[in-house]
Amino acid sequence: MKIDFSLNGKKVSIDTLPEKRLIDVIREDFGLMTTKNACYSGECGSCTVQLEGRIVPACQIPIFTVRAKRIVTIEGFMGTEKYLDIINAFNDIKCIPCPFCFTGKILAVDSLIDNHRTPDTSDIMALLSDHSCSCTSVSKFIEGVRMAYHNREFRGELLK
Amino acid sequence: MIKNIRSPLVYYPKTVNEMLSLYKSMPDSLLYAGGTGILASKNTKYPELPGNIIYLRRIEELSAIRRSEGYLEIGACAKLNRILGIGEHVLKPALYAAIRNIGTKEVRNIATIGGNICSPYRTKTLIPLLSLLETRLELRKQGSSRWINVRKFVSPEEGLHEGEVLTRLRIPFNNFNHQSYIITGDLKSDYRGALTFACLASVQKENLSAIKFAAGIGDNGIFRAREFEEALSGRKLPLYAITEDPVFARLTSALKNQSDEVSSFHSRQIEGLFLTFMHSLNDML
Repeated sequence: MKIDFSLNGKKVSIDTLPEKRLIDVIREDFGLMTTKNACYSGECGSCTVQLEGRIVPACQIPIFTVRAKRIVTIEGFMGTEKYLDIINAFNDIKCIPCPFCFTGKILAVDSLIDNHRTPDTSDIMALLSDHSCSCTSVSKFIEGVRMAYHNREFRGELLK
Repeated sequence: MIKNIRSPLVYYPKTVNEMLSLYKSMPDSLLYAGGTGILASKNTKYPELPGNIIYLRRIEELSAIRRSEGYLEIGACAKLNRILGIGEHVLKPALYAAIRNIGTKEVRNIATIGGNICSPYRTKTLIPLLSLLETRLELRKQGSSRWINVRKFVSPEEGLHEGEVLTRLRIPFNNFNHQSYIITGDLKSDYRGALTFACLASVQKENLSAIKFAAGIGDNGIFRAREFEEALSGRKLPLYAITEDPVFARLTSALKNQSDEVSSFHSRQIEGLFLTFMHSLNDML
């Protein structure tokens, strides 16, 4: 089955089995290996991508459902100022998530600070509970999210 | 490796009528919206899906959310996070908590309310609460439609008939000023051990004017104790030492009457959760 969609801002087309999971298409057909594949049940958060601007687990999405949709992986997101807001904050406090959960946590933080005027501790704890990897210190992660929010606020992005 | 003899054919209807017509001509096809329940249960590289798939997400009508004076009308394919976006003040605390309890944020961005209601875990998540809220479901098939109470939906006789599709929910607004929704256990790892408990109460001037609760247990069972609820309604608060009140025996006997479906472990849990809720009412006075 031929499926056309947008991947990291480029129009792409793939001829594959319709039931093939998006995560496998991203990794095997497009070679974008930063997005990980671990549980196939949507629980670990390591395969998170943005689908039409919303974070989704790519392992729970068969490729036939993304026809004409816009997908951004962590590789695409890394080229944006929004990514710099987050990664600079986590770099400053020396709290970088491990390669397994990096994608999920960074994209989830972006979604959180985009949707909240002031992310409170319970919102951040809820975010952490959605990701099974516990590589980062909770208190540092909370600090990192708040700093990322302030970075974005400082850039004026949230006022738009 | 050749996995499938034939790859599934996917149909993308744009209207409900088009979808119903397709479903009538292919009754063994898979209706696919969020698909999280389907794919999570098949955690293999290539999930085996039926030969024909009818993809529902292109039908705008099925994702619509409308607010009228008396009720909230939600299309069966509305995503859970979109429903949460309506706000806790409209959904009320119990329903908001119930939806927020489902999956991770990422999963709720694709999972739909209709999928949750139709899933095998249905009595363990939203259905007990929706039944307390007197939610009605629209079931449509080509040429006809009917509305049924969510309680009837879980019974094999009155639930989905052949060719029928769940298209809309109507959740009446409620005035219960004290609400609780709790899931005990882990639905994924211990489905039979988990229990859903929802309780709604209306307290006016230290008077418990109405109370009702439901528990999701077993594969399809919803536990209700209506006689007990009626006996408690109208009582003056605070109700201390309720376990020594003769009314409490009605809950115990209701649990014993359903001992086929409610294990002694779940009975103790239901009693405990109910008492916790009553204590919280007493504490608020």
